[in-house]
Parts: sequence; C-alpha cells; structure tokens
Amino acid sequence: MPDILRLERVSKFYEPHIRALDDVSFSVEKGEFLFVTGPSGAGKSTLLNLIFRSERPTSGEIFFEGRPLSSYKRSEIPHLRRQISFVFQDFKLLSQRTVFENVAIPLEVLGLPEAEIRRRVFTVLEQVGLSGRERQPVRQLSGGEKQRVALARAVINRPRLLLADEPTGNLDARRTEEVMEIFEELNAQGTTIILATHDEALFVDRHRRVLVLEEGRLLNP
Amino acid sequence: MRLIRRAFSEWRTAPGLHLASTLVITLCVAIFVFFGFIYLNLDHFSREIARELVLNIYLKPQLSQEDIKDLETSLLQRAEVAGVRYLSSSQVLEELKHLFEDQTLLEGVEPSFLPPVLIVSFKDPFSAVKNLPELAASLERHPEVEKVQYARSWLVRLSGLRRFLELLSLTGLFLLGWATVLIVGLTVRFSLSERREELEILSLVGATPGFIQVPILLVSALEGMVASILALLAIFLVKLYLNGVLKGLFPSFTEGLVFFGRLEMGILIAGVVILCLLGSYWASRRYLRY
Repeated sequence: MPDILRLERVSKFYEPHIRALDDVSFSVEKGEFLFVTGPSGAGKSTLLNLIFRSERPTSGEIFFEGRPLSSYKRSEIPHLRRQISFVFQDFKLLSQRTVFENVAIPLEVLGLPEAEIRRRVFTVLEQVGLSGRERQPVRQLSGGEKQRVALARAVINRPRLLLADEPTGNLDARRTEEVMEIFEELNAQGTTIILATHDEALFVDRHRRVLVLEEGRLLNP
Repeated sequence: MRLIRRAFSEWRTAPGLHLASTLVITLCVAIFVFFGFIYLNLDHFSREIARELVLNIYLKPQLSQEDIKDLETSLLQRAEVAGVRYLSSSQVLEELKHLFEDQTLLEGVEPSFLPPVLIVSFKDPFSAVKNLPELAASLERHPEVEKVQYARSWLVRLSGLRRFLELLSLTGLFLLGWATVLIVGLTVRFSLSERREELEILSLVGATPGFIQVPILLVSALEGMVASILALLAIFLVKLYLNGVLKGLFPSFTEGLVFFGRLEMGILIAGVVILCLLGSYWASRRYLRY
C-alpha cells in the first residue's frame, strides 16, 4: 500500500523553551488505522495539528499524498481540509443548529445540490446510528450522540485521511465502544484514520499499529 | 438562490444589530444629503443671480462707430465673454426712465449728459469674477473708456459662499465615508465575534474565505442601499415640505427648490454601497485568516 502521509524529522518548538515535538519521523499507509498514544503533554495534539496544517513545524517536512504541506499556499488550505477531516474531543458542533444542519456543513461548503446533500446526510446518519434524529437540535443530544454527529460531519465529504484527537475523552465506556465501532467501520470502508488517545484500552486487542509519544519524542519509530 | 438564503441567515444572526446599523447609516447619509441639498439649491440660486452679472464700460462721448465696433470685437474675442451690448446715450436715458419710478428726477437731463455704455455679460460669472479686476483695469487703460464698473462685492461674497459650501460638502463627504465604514465595520465585527465558533468550524471543514465572506458583503451592500434610499426619501420629503413653506412666505417663489438628478442619486447610492462593502470587507478579513 502506498503512503498517504509521511513525516520527516518533524520538530515543533514553542517559545521560550517548550519542545512539543522533537525529530519525529513515520509514515502512514493508505487505509491504515493508526493509534498515537502517550501521556498528556506528550505532543499528540500538536502532531495532529501539524498534519491538519493548523500549525507549521519548526523544522522537518510533512508530506500528504507525496506533496509537502509547506508547499500549500494559504488559499489552498481550505482544499486541503476537504481531504483531511478532524474529530475533536469537544466535538466542535453548532449547538443551536440541528443534527442535519451540522452534518451538512461540509457539503454546503462544497456547493453540492440540495438533493445530493439530503441524500448523503441521511446515509451517513444511518451509518452512525442517528437515523430519525435529523431535526433534533444538537444541544439536546448526549455526549456520545454528539461525537457521532461530529464523526458523521467528518466523514460526509469522504476525506482521504481522518484525524481524531481524544474522540472518546468525554464519553463513558459504553459510548466509547459505540464510537470506536464506527471508526472501525469507516476504516473497513477504506478511510485512513489516525487516532490520538491517552487511553490504552482503546487500542489493546485491536491489533493496530500504535505510535508512542513521550515528551515530544517518538519511542517506537 | 442559495447565496440569498445564506445572506438572510447571516442577517438573522443579529437582526437588531443590522437594523440599528442600517438606521445609523441612514442618519449619516441623510445629514450629508441634507447639506448637499442646501448646497445644490444655493448653487442653483447663486447661478441664477450671477447670470445678471454684467460689466459696464462707460465710453467717452463723441466716439466714432468704428472705435466702438473695434472695442466690441476685441471683447467678444475673449473666451469668458458671452455677449456685448451697446447702449447709446439716449438709450441709457431711456433705461434710466424705466428704472426710476419718479420721472421728475430725470427732468432736464440731456442724453448728451450721459455716457454711452458697453454692457458685457459672461458665460460663467463665477469663473469670470476672478479675472474681473484685471480685465477692468486693462479696459480702463483704453483711451475710449471713461470708466469700468461691476457689482464686484456681492459677487465675490456669493462666490466665497459657494466655495465655503463646496468645502462643507467635501468635509461632509469625508465624514460620511469615515462614519459609514466605521459603523458597518463595527456591526460586522460584532456579528462575527458572536459567530466565532461557527467561523472556526467552517474553516475546519474547508470553507474558503470567500464562502464565508460573500453573504456578509451582500448583507452590508443591501444595508447601504436601503440606508441611502431611505435618506434620499427623507430629504425629498423635507424638500416637499420646504417648497410649501417657502411658497407661503414668498409669493414670487414659483420655481420651487431643486433636487438631485437620477445620476447624482445613483452615484450617492453606489458610493454608500461601496463604503459599506469596504467596511465589511475590512472587518471580516481578520476573522478569515488561515
């Protein structure tokens, strides 16, 4: 399988002397489900932010589908973000809006016809087990349901790479299992996933590659 | 259609704020339009009066018709001169008789007592007034000319008043522009700061700055258009009211006040719309940096 993502000696320092990531190199194959773990402050979120291009590395280079992220112009970032989706621990949903409206946002941005948007939203909501909840305002949902809405929004435009930063951090064990099942299903359909978590229970017995970060350094490159 | 819906939803995020902003812009534009309306009417009025500006060249008696013709021709060759009329001494006496109600004042006055006159009128009296002293002095040096007279003082004052009003209008234009950009900018910034979360999410899912900005700009442009139309309408109503009042005060006031033409109104509306677009572009840009 070809690489979808490659990091070459990536470091990120914050002033004055914070070393968030130090000389990190690894690659991710297309269709892989990769876990990144480590204690709080190990650099997991920084790593995902660099891949998402919301931050730039201090040194080193990140390649997405063979193209260095540093070569993306500002005007190209929105297009990059249509290929890389992000699932956040705090969901980042519009609580006043309905489930349908939240999930439809990426498709509206793409300017798809309304009928196509409706069709795809209904399909993805069925996939994440939220059929019939389209008109419900997000504020009325439980944490697990909110994360499923966030997941639906993240995958609705069929991204090539899905990043998830502690996606189960706010969920109880049952909801965590539900969400992880959806991740597995998405991966089975071909979506490449990088999931950052400090919770070992998420990747134990899943037989997936796990990268361990500690104080910004990769312990098992 | 989708853009209009998004613009409406943009307006719906803070309808009170957008309404207040539209009203404040209306007020600003109305103040400016009111000054412009006053300027327009004073300009119209002063041009009407200034049309009566003439230069009286009193000629020496017993001049030959050839000398008079030569002087007349040389005056007509000047670019600012619209026309030259010759009045003989007897014609001057007739004019005076028309002028005075009490004819006894002119009893015993012989036409030979009055000098013949060349009356010079100008194409643009306000431009001509600047060069008038120079022209008068050069004419007085002519051997055929006895004296040159014109109503300099009131015309200079009128010209000064026009310049002052021009300056006032320009200052008003500058202040209007500044205030509009500021008001629209602040409104957009307030409404965007309330929607920071939404903007962040839109940027995370790959919305381009244009996708976010276009409905905001559309709403601002509409606000500017509505505000300028309302302001013009308000001042037009003021004009109708003043027409009625002035008619009652001065029975000779028959023409009525003048109002802006279609082109001027179009330019004003377009100008306000452009200012609103500038204000909203300037305010929204800082929220759309990747």
